[in-house]
Amino acid sequence: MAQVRRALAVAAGGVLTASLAGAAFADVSEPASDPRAVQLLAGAADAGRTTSYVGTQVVMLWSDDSQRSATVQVSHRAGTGSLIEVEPTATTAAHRSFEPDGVASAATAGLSAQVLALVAQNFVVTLAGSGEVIGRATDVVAVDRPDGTAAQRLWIDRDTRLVLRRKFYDSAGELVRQTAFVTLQPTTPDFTGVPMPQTLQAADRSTQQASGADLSAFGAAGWRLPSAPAGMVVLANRVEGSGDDQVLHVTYSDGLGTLSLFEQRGRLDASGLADWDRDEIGGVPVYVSQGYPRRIVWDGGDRVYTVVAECRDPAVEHVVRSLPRGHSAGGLDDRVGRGARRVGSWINPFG
Amino acid sequence: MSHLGDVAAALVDGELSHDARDRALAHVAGCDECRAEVEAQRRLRTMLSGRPDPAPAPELLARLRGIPAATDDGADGGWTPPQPALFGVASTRPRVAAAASRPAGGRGPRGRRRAVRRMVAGSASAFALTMALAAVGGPADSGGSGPVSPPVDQFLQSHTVTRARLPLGDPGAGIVESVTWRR
Repeated sequence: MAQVRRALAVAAGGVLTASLAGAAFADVSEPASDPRAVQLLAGAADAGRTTSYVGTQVVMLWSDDSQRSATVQVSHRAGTGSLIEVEPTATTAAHRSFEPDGVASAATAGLSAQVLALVAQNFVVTLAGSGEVIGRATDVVAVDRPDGTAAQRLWIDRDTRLVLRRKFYDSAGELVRQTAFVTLQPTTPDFTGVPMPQTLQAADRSTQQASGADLSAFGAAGWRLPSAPAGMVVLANRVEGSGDDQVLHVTYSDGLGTLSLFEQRGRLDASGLADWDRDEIGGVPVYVSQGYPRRIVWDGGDRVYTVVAECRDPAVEHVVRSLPRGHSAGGLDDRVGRGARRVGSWINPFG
Repeated sequence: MSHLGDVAAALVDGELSHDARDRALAHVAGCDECRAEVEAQRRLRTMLSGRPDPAPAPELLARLRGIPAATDDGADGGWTPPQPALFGVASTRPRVAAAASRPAGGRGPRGRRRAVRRMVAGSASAFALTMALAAVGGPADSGGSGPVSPPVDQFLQSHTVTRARLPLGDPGAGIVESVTWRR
């Protein structure tokens, strides 16, 4: 198994290097990624799922004029998952959850390579020097957007290849999140007595890339699925709940940032959105919440949509504009429109 | 390669000369598109046979009334002898032979019937397509139009957990973010 993972990691590196080389030859005027930095990212992604460790992580979040922080105990067992225990503070409730290793299988390692290739495609990855975190020597990798704004800074342990410290920036280049390990011990945690999710397999399924058949089935079931915005892939999709309470959750990713679309049947009851701003995206009236990530709610075509996103604005606009506007009366026009969309989804499940 | 075009209708109507019919049939034998067109014309003719001509749409009537009478009898010199063509017809049926070089609007009574037939065929096709799409679309979702208050905090949690599973995700940050965003 380890050999398979190593082979996939090498393959991922090959994909990234090839895409970088292609990009370099395609347009020499654009800032190019450093293949060494990209290899470091690929190594960090691999270590994140193949290295067992126990550590204490400090998480800081910025939103508008507020800042919150929390201390988290992270116990990761390679191939199994991470036990995450949030210590209670004035602004943070105690929380304990188990996150299965979504990218542990060979199938999802393929997705890992694809997502990492997206990072190389959508961002400029360079070496930004070296540093030291909790006494460990690290390489600092800068991930910037093509417009030059910072997207992430990562301090990658030269020994374990784990990311020890990380800064996240929003699309305006503002720091919105920082995480750093204050203790780290490479060891295999004992999960005896830790309640594991009964549906580990099902949970793992949610991290796999949606197949065309999946999306086609959703389309045939009446769900409206926007095509992936430019430079993004469908990372995960699932339908939760039953009957009229079903919720479709589709997640798109550009490699680092994600956009989740939640779709429910019905019309929007905006009584709970009193403190949200009214805005317009692509000509569609929406409710927008302050803070990060962006949260946007609107309705149309007897569906209520919620978008949670920390990606570029054009991607959000693409999704909003792709979905029906207004409300149908359930007449012939509505049925024909619904039928055309269904037939369209049979022909092109990604359309 | 040339196709039958209007000659398909002439073939079905029995308007072609003996030689022209033979050439048309030889072509139909080897051309799927024209065979389908002839079949469609034949079905439509069967459908319409024995029934009065369907009432044309007002726009069509207006167009028909706008056609100068001279084009029907050639009194204004508008009609020209049939030009040599692959599917030429007898001189008694000049309209079909002149199909390729027919002046705009120059249709005889049979041409008008054909135009009506084509319009009916087009309308029928459009109607069938509309009904098929409506059938595929199905009725509106029952019970799905009630008021919905989206559980945004729950959605945020699902989002951050999914995001944390990215190859370069950060599970600790995702969990904290979902927890601290709770109001």
